[in-house]
Parts: sequence; C-alpha cells; structure tokens
Amino acid sequence: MALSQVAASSLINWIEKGVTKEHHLEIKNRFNKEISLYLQTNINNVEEIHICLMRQITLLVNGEVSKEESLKSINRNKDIIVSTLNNKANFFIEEEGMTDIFLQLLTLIKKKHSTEVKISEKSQALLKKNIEKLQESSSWKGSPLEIESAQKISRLTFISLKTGVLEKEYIELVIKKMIDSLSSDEWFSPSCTIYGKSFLLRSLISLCANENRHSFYNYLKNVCEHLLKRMEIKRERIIISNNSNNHYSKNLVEQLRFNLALLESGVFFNDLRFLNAVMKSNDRIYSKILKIKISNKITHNNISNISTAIHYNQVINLQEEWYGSLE
Amino acid sequence: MKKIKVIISSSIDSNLYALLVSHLCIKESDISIVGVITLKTVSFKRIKAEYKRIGHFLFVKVIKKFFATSPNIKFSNVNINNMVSEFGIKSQSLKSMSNNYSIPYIKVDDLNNLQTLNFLNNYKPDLILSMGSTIIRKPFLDIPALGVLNVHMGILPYYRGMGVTEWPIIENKINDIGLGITLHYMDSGVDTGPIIKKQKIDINGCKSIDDLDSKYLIEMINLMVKGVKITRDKKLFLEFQKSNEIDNGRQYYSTHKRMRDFAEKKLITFT
Repeated sequence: MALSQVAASSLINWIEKGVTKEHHLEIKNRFNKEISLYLQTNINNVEEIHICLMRQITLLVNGEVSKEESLKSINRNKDIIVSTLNNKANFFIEEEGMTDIFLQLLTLIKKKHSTEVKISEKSQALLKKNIEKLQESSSWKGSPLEIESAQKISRLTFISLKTGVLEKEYIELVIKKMIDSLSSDEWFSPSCTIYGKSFLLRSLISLCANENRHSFYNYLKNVCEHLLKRMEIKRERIIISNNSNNHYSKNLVEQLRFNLALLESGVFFNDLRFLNAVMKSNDRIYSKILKIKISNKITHNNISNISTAIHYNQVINLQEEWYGSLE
Repeated sequence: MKKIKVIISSSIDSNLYALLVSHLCIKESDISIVGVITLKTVSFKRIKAEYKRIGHFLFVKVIKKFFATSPNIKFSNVNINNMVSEFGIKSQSLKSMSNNYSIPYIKVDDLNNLQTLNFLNNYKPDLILSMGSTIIRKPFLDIPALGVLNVHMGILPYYRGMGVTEWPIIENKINDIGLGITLHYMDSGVDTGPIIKKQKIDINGCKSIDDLDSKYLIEMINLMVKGVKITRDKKLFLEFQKSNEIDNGRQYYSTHKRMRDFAEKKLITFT
C-alpha cells in the first residue's frame, strides 16, 4: 500500500506539473532565435518596410533595445509606413495581407516607444470613406457579408486608433454606432460570431483607459465579465472555433489577441481574475504553439507564423511581467 | 416537535463532507433523513463535462479520490480515518450508510432529470442539503417546502464561485473581508441566494492551502448541521443579496497552479 501511495503521489505530481513557466519561456526563446535567423537571411531580399518592422517589433517585444535606438528606428519605420500607406489606394482593408500583418504587429509596440503615424489627408479621407461604406452593411448578427463588414470595421478602427492614423473622436463615433446594435450580453452568445471582436474589445479598452469614466466603461465591464465567464466555464482552447470556417492558425492568433485583451482589461480594472484566466488559456494553447516552426522562407504562411509567434511572445511577456510584480 | 424531513444531495457516493453531515443529522432526534441522492461517478456525460471543466486534472482528482477513500491513507491534512472515528462513523459511503439506516438511496445521471425529480416528489422533503453538487435548476429547487441549503466556501456576496479559499489571500482581502464560509439558500444563480449565516475562518496554524481546506471542511460540516436546526426552529434572519451587491461582488473561477502557489506563499506571511 505504501508503495502504491508513493506511485500515486509521483503520478499526481507529474500530472499536476502540466505546462510550466519554463515551457512557455522555452518556446518564446526559440521563436526569438528563429525570427532573428529569418531576418538575417532575408535582409537583402524583402521590402524595407518588412524587415524594418520585423526587427523593430522583435526587439521591442523582447525588450532588448535602448530608448534612443528604438526612437530612431521607429521614426525610420514611420516614414516607410506613411509612404506605403499613402501609395496604397485601398490600404490595409484586406485581412492577412502583408501590410495588415505589419500594422497589426505595429499595434503591439508599447505606447511609450511609439510615435503617431500621420498619413496624408487624401489617404485619411479614403480610409474614412471605406469605413463608412462598410458601416452601411455591417452587423455581428447578420448575413456572412454583414459579419465580414463588421469584422473589417473592428480591425480597421483598432489599427487606426493604435497607430494614430485616424482621430480618436472619429473612431469613438464609429465604435458607438457598432455597439449600439450589439448588447454586451450578446458578444459571446452561441448565435453571435466571435471572430474579429478582439479588435473591437481592445479599442474599447484603449479608449476607456485614456479617459476617466468613459461612456463605454460599463459596457466594457460587462463584456469583459462575459469573456471571462466564457473562457473559464467552457475552457475552449480557442473560443471562436465552433462557428468559424477560418484556418486554425488564424483562429489561434485571434485567441492570442483575446488573451492580450484580457491582460489589458485586467490591468485596467485591477483584477487578477483576468491574469488567472490568461495563464490557463496559454497553457491550453501550448501544444498548438509548440508546433509552430519559423523557417527562412519569404512565404505568406511563414510571415503568418512570425505574426503568431510575436503575438504569443507579447502575451507571455505581459503575463510574466504582471505575475512577477505580485511576488 | 415535528421532525424535519431532509434529503442529502451529493456529487459522489464517497463524499466525506456529505457523509459526516448525514451522520450528525442521524444523531439528531428531530432530524429525519428521508432520502439520499448521489450522482453516478462513471457516466460518459459526467466524465466529458468534468474533463472539459478541469482538463487533465480530472486524472488527479480520480487518483486522489481512489487513494483518499482507501483506509490508513492520509492525503494532505485530512486524515479520513481520524475524522471517521472522531465522528463515530461506521460507513465509508453514502450508500452503505443508507443501507445501515434504511434510508431510500438513489444514484442518478443528472440532478435535474425526471428520475431525480420523481424521487424528490415521492419523499417530499422539507429541506435538501446540497453538498458538492452541480448546477441545480428551478424544478429541483421548487420541491422542498423550506428550500435547498448550501454552505459556500467564501464570504458572500463578495466571493462567489470557485477557488474562493485562495482568492481573498491573492487579493489581499484577509483583513477586511476575510476568509470564511456562508450558509445560504440556493437559487438559480451562482451563490446568489438569501444568506442565513456567515462564519469567518481562523487561519492561524495553516501553513498550506490544503491545511486551510481541512479547516474549512470541519467548519462547513458544523455550519450545515447548524443550518438544519436553525431552519427547523424557524430562527432565521435572512439577508437577501441585493442585485447591486451581486453585481459588485465578483464571480471567481478555479485558480491556476501558479496562482495557488502564490496564495500559499502569501498565506504563510499571514499566519
């Protein structure tokens, strides 16, 4: 009996150990090495915007860059981004395009390291026109086309808000219109599409964090409570997988964006339940993240993997930063 | 005095908490246990739901359960044998206890199914004592004349849900809200029913969360039995949880292992 109890205790210890902090840090370090190698190999073969942003973001996410170096690099990037955006007639509308991926990565840069991107008035007007056109036929509960429009607006407004491409007041109006037709209770209901809402949620957090008792505050609080409930009770690896036809990797990045949103809302509401939920979620997706390998190929698939890896590293960094501050 | 008719509802047949409460109730001359309901341990639906809920920790639960119910085994600080002999218990399961005392016993797949409701309607309890149960729905809640009692492992309305032994420690709320348990009537919400009694738990001497859990178990048993007597004697002073209190109080969920480790480290600084 004594022997079987020793065996049982060892088995329990082994199972309980599960995914550890070290497991996450190991992947994070591997991703950093693989991305660095990718950059070194391809530095002469890709567009300047690509290599600049990648290097910048990798360095910032890892926190291995001096402020002076970072500002110099950001200003250089900014010029390249502005000229790229001004030259694109229909810029960053298409999800998963190279520019979209780069802009999404740009939103990961902490505010203290970033400078606003000012695009030409002509480009700004075009972007607003695009958003307004999408608004005419957008709904989170409507037809697939209407849902797609809502997803596009959600992504566009978030990127515009984070990069400063559009004025905050304009974005607030767009978001207000969107949430007027979407009650906070409906966000994660089975009948409602979830994919794409991470952007809308992060815009709400960003707006509320910058203004004391913002008019969106109570709405945001309810949405966050629903997200927490959904993640903790259903314990899905990816919360949007049920009603989404997307490729798995696309859903995985969306989950990572939700994890970022949870961490951001946790900090905003000073609520450790959100950190707890993210820690569990990261453990659940660990086996999927482990499978991601970054090669040196300049393919769309590989760039998507890099984007996933950078998002993951960002989530782990924020999680460990917060958990570390408790001890 | 007329005997109060009680039904015991437990998540598993070998639930120590339910077993000890039942034995204490049997010893009381004016409490009559008219039935015992437990959930089937091996049911595909239940295993699937549990796995979804707690993942691979389900295996830990099963192993712990198997070894904890074996004689002479001490897991954490709950020594089953000591407790059983202290309370003078002869049975190690609700089923054998029911056999010994000729109490109607039923094992069901779901506490909200027709089989359960028929059993309850048949024995018409005044009170149901819910111990480690799953979600209970309105038809079940409506059957007992006096209601369904539950002892929650946290101070309501502040700490609803799960992991609420650790959360007040994690959130540094030991000195203001404190650690404790709450006896309350169940309603269809999560720990939102009318409060009968709150009781603080003294953490002195607790060096781990497991120590704390053992302390909680003893207090919960005593409070549940006390709850039956208070209800029987109609000496109730109910504190209804207001909707704004429920909104302000948070619902908590089980803690990640590292959060539990953090709570344990912090607990030592308090004791």
